[in-house]
Amino acid sequence: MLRVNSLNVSYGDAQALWDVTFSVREEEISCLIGANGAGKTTALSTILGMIRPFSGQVEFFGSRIEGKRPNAIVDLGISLVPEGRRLFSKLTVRENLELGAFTKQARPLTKETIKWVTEVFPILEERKGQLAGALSGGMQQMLAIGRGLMARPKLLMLDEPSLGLAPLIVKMLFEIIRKLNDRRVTILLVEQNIHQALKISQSAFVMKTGKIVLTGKGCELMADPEIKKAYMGVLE
Amino acid sequence: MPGFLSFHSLSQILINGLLFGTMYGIAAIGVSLIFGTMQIIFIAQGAMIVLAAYLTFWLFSLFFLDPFLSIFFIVPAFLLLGGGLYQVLFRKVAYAGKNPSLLIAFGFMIMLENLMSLLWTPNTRAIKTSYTAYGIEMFGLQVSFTRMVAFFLAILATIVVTFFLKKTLMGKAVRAASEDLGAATMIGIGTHWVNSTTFSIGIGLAGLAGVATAMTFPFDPYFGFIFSLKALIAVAFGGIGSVWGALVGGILLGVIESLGFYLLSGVWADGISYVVFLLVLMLKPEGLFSGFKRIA
Amino acid sequence: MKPKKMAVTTILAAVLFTGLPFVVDSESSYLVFFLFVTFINITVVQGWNLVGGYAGQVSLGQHAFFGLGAYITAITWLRGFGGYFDPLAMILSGLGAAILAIGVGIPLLSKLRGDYFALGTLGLGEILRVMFTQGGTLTGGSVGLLLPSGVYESMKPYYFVSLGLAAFATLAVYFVVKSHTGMALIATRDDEIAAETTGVDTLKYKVLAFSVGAFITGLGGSLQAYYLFHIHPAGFFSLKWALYPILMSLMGGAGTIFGPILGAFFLTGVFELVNIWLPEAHPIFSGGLIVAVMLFLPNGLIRLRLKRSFSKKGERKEVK
Repeated sequence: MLRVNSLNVSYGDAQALWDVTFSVREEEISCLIGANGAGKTTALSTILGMIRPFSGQVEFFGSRIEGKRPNAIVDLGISLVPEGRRLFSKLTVRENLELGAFTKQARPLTKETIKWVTEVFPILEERKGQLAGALSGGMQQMLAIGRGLMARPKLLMLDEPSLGLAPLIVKMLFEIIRKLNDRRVTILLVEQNIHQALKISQSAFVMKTGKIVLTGKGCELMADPEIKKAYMGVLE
Repeated sequence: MPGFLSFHSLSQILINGLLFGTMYGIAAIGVSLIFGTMQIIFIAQGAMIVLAAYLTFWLFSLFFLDPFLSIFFIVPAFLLLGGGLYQVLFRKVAYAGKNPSLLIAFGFMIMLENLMSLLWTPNTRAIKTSYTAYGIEMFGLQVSFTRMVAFFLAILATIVVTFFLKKTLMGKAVRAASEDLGAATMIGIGTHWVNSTTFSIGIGLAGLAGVATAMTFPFDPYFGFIFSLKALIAVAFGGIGSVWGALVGGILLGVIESLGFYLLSGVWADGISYVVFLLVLMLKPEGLFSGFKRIA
Repeated sequence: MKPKKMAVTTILAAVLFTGLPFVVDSESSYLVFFLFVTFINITVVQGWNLVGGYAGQVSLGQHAFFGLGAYITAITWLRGFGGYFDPLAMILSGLGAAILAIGVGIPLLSKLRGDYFALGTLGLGEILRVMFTQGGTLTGGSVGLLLPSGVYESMKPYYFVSLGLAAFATLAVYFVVKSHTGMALIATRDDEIAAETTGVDTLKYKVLAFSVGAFITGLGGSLQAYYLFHIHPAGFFSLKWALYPILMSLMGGAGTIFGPILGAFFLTGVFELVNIWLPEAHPIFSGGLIVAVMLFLPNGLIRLRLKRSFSKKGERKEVK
């Protein structure tokens, strides 16, 4: 459903993405993995319209979206859960969720969507009057994902959801991601936790210094000796 | 210089300061909001207030429209004007760093003030209605009727703005954007929309403050700059982004000035405000009330 | 511009400017007057350029230093410590301004938010204006101080001193920028937090830039005092002196060495023209000009080249 073609992106004079090409299939979990600074977040930001590439295309369900403004892209059905969560800490859990459904097509369905999201994350219902800043790391991540879901996305992009979370919570998190996918939410995952990411992904793209260097099925790449050497050694 | 300050005089001074300060407060809320969301120090707020005051004056002088009634024309007009001003002046530079917008506000202020001076002469203007000199006696104190009204208008405006920010979806979007603009953009909140709404409200408040100003004391085209400074001082007291803080900050400033004016001569009183301003900026820039719970 | 080209142009300009008063009659020449005004402007502009363009801290209060410098010069003269074109008095004027800058700068610049600094400097200017209006016999109140204008002989010393100041100011900026300090300043301007984490004592450098800028500005005020022979709060603490340096720097290109010079020449010219044709509209025009420059030429004339810059939508540029 999402096709990224030869994307070239710069920050001023510094080029961050070089001819990046990959695609995300509907109802699958795809992941972008790589070390810090490889350009994964840049890729997501570009897809969402936060950055304009100086060449290349982004196609969503066949239509070109690169260069569109973020609010248009969110309205079309792509949602991003940013790195570091970036919740509105001075607003309550419920308000964060409400704002997640700000776009034109999502707003009339806010009530329903909140119901659905609190089904997936019951703890959000409990804490709905609390300030987002008062939640623990794991709960914040759930709220962040919940907020992303409020836009009723067809594609949910997650940027390093496991960052800063305890291993037990990380396990729970990936369970939730898998459950969401079971409910037919397409997911594009960016992760440094390569092991977990590859485990649940059907497709994987490895990035290094702004380029895609390896693609394949999640399980294949897990067994790939290069990957094992380069990345797995760092983990666990 | 009076040596002994009776309770009566003190109360009178305080009341005067309080009522006067609410005017600063209304101006300050606008500045605070605009700064909170867009990081723009809209230093031309005072000039906009003077513009509104002039409009009130002309509506009264030419069409005999009572200032109270002009609120219903001027505030909506200024709300619209605010949106328009944002589009023309700030939309382009909203994300270009702080300096361009600061300077645009500066330049705009100078343009506006001198334009008003050119059009309407630098002479001081004042409105005299049947009730201008009207005073009420409360608890043995003399209170000016118009200032009392201005006070209640300010409270009302603050309540309305707070309600907007806390209860409406749009208001929540504004609060979210002022906390984390990037995140707000990512979830689909159009940033220019947020900015232009906030700016509208800020200018609308300027309109209200202008009417109140016209009703209560004389003004001239260059009055705006001082007003802006005072609004900034009030914001410094109250902490950026806090609506009630801005109002209370304004009142506090009014009281300090009132006391200063009474105890020293006029110009020194001004000086005191600036000194306190500098001190606050240097020592407690988060605002004097940042220990208190923020409402909005 | 390549360094060689720059050096040649500079030397050429220096020769031309120095030789001018010997070629024309400096008393009646409008060009000499124009250059005199421009050189003073360049002086105060570079003062702002250092703190605003290089260190990235917008000062809205340069008029405080300008006026203070002027008053120190006037007061020392009247009280018998200084005299006409007394270098010691001028240096003292600059020093006074610098000391004020250090005193106010340390607390204001120690917060990482630049807006507090901007507002604080604005307040500072106003405070000084009030203070000097109330200064009694020391400062002459709102009427100000009158210097014995009888000693005026010729325009030449003014011209040369202003040229010297402009050169001095530019050189000062040049040397600061090319030095270790300069690197620290630029690092601070571009990303203060990052600079701090690499061990740069940003406060020290910001205050340094601020006080050197103040020194230079104070010198400008001193010269202006010698020229006008009448120092008063409204004129010397006028917002004009806060505004022009910023406008000229930005127009020409803040954060460069020659940009502000370009801006000063251009705008002084424009202002003089406007003054002749539409004197009442002068401030309206300046105000409008600032708006126009910021909207259409935010990087200044000197940086007119196509840039491939893509900024994230919704993300504010780095806080200065």
